[in-house]
Amino acid sequence: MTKYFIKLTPLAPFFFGGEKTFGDGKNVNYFAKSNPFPQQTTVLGMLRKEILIQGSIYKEKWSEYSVDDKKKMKELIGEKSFQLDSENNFGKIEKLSPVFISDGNENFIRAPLDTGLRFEENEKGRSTLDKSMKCIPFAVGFKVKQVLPNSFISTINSNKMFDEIFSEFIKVGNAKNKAEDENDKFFKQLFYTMRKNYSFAFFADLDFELTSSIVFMGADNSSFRMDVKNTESSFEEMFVNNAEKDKITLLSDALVDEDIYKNCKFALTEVLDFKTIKMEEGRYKKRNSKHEMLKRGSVLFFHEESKRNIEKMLDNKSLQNIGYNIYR
Amino acid sequence: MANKYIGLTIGPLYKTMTRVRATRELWASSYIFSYIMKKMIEKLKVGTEFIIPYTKDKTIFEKGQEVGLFHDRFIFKAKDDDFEKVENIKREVLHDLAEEISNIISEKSTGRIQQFLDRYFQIYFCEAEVEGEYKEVNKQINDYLDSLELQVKFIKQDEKNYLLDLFDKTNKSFLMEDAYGIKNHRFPYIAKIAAKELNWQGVDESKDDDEIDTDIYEQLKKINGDNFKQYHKYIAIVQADGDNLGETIKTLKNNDDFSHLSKALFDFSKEAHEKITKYGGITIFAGGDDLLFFAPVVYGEKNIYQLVDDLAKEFASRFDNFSQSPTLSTGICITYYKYPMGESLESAANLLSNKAKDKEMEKNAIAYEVQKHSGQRFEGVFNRADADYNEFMKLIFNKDDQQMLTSLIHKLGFHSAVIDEIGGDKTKISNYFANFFNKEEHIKHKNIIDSTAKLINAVFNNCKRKEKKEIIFSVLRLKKFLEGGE
Repeated sequence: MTKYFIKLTPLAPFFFGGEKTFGDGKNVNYFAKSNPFPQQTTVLGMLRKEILIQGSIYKEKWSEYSVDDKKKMKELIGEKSFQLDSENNFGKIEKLSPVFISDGNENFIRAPLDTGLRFEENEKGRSTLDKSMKCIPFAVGFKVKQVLPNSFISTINSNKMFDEIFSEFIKVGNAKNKAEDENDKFFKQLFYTMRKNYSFAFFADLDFELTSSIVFMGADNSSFRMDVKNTESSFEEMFVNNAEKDKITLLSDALVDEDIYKNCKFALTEVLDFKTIKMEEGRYKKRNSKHEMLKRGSVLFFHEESKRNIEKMLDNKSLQNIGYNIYR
Repeated sequence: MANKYIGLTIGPLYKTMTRVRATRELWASSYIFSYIMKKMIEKLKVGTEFIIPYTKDKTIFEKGQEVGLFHDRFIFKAKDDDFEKVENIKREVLHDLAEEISNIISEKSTGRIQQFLDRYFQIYFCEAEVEGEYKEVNKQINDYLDSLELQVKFIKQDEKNYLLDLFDKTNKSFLMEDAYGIKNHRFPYIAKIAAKELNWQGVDESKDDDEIDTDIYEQLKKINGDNFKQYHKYIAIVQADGDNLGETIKTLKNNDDFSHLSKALFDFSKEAHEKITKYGGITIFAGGDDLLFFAPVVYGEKNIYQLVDDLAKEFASRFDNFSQSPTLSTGICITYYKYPMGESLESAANLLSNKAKDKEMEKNAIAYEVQKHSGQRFEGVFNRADADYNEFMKLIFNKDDQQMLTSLIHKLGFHSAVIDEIGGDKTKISNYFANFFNKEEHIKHKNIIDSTAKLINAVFNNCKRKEKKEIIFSVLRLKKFLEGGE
C-alpha cells in the first residue's frame, strides 16, 4: 500500500455541480452555479476512472468490456460507485482524505466558523433550539451585519480570504435551436478559477502505482493537472491536532443525523446539499433522495459527557474512508 | 427595573426563497413565514405587551392585507408560564399548518407533513431578564436571537419537500385566501407583471406556466404593435432596507418613542404597498424596515427608478420628527422573465448588502443590475444625497431617442480616454460635446446631450467609486433599455 500526496491544479475554469445545476426536461435551470470545492465522491469517481486508464483497462463504452475486463475492473476499483448506508469496496483505493488547498508551500483548510468568536452561556436565561436549555448560548464577538468567516487557515496559521484563492468566471450562452423559438435555451453558468499557485490537494492510500497525468472532473469534465507524489505524511498528521475538550471542529463536510444537536450545548454551522448519481455497469442511474451535510469548518460545542455520543454519530467508516466526517 | 422578555425567530427565509423559480412561488415562500408568525402571535394571550412587531393596529391580523406584514421575529414581555406556552403554541401552529397543507397537496397525512415542518422550520426562542426601556430590550434580545440563528437546522435525508408542493399550488391555497380574503385568487403571470401597462385579452390557462407566458407575449406583440418594447419582457425584483435604524433607536428616550418608531415603520409598510400596487408591482413582503417586491420596468409615465426614489422619500418623511433619521437603501435586479426568481432575489439581496450598503457608498443608496437575455450585464450604484444621483434621475426621467443614445454610447466609448482626462472639468466637457456633437441631429437632441455632459461631470466629481466611466456607460445603456432599445 502506498501513501500519496496528490495535487489537482485547474487548467481552466472549473464547474462542480451543486443542487442548483441545470436540471433535465421540464425544470431546466437558467443559471447554474459551481461549488468551489469538489465533492469527495467526485474525487473518488475521478480516481476510479484514472486507475482504470493507468491500468490499461478503460474502455469508452461499457459494451466494450469483456468478462475478463470486468473481473480486473472489480479488482482495481470495485463494482459500484459510492453507496450511502452500505459497505463500499473500491478495490485498490483504500482511503482518501478530505480535499484541502495547497499553494505549493503551505496547506490550508477552511477556518473554523468560531474564528474570532467566543462561546458563552448566559445562565440567567433559558432557550429552546432543538431542545430546551436552562441557559442562552451566545457567540461573543458576532455582529449580525457581518457574516461568519469564509476564509482559510494554514498549518502555520496563515490566513487567506476566499477571494484570495478563488475567483468567479461567468459563461453565458444561448444553445439556440433554429427550429424553435429564438428565445429558448439561454443559460448562465458560474465557474470558479483558482489564483496563481493554488491547487486542490488530498492524501490517498492506494494499492496501485499512480502517476501524474491530466484528469477531468465534475459534470462539465473540468480539466486538472494531477501531480502525484509519494509521502510519509497524512491528513491527520497535518491537520488533526489542537483538539479542544469541549468542542469539535469539522475538517471535512459531514453527513450526520439531525439529532447531533441534541447532544450539543450549541453549534456554529453551515449546511450544504449532497446528491449522488448512482453509477452501475457504466450507466447512470436515477438520483434518489437529497441530503444535507454540515459544512467543513462547522463547530460543535458540548459538555464533556456528550463527547463520546457526538463522536459515535460522526464516526462512519464508509464516509470517513472517502474523506467525509473528519474532525478534530 | 428588570423584567423578563421572550424573543422568537423563524427561518430559514433566504434558503426557502432562493429555492423557487416562479413569481407566485417566491411570493408564497415569503408569505408563509409572515403567516406562521401571525398565527403564533394571535394565540398568545390578549393584552400581551409586544416590543416588536407593532401590534396596536389590529388590522395587521385581518385577512386581505395582500402582503406579509409580520417580520421574522417577535419580542414580548413575559409572564411566568409564557416560555412553556410558546413551545405549545409553536407545536399547535405547525399542526394546523400541516392540516391546511394536506388539503391542498397530494400528500394527505397530516402527521407526515407536520413531521417535515418540524424538521424544516427553524423556530428558536429565548427568555431573559433585561433591565431598561424597550430599546435596551430590543437590542439585548435581538443579539441573543442573532446568536441562536448560527446553529443552522438541516434535514439529513429529505424525502419530500411538502412546502415546494404547496408553493406550486399557491393560487388554490389558504395563503392566497389569507392574503386576498377570497378563495382562488390568481397570482399574476410574470408576463402580466412585466407588461402591466399593455393591453391583453386572455389566453388558454390550462397549459403550463411557461407556455402561458409565451402565449401572453405573442398576444401582447400582436395587439400592441409598436407599443410593445423589449423591457416588457423584463421584470424588476427590488429589495430595500432601512439604514442605521440601530443608531436611531439609540437616540430614543422612552418606550413611547420606541412605539412611535414602530408605528412609523408600520405605516410606511402599508403606504409602500399602496405605492407599489399603484405602480403595477406586486409586494412580496413589507414589514419593519424591510421591503421586497416585483415590478414592471416601466409603467406609464414612470419607471422603476422613480418608484424606488418615491419610496425612499416616503421612508425619510416618516422620520422627520426624530433627532436621527434613518434612510432607505435599495437593490434593484432587472432580469429576463425566464430567469429563475430565486437567483434574481439573491442578486437583489447582494446588490443591497454589498453595493448599496457598502462602506464606500455610505448607505442611502441604490444599486442596480440589468441582466440582459443576450448575456450583456451592466450595473451602477448611487448615493441618493449626491449630485451624480440627481443627474442620473434627470437623465433617465426624460424620454429620448434611442438612436441618439446609441450614437452617444459609441462616440463616448471611442473617446473614453479623453473622458477620463476631462470628466471632472465642466468647461472642458462642455467644449468636448460642442466639438463632437454639433451636427443637425445632435442639435435636435440637445436635451440628452446636455444631460449626459452634466452626468459625466457629476460622476467624476462626486461618485465615491473608482469605476466612474463604467457607471456612466452603464447609465447610458440603462437609458437606452428604458427607451425600449435592446
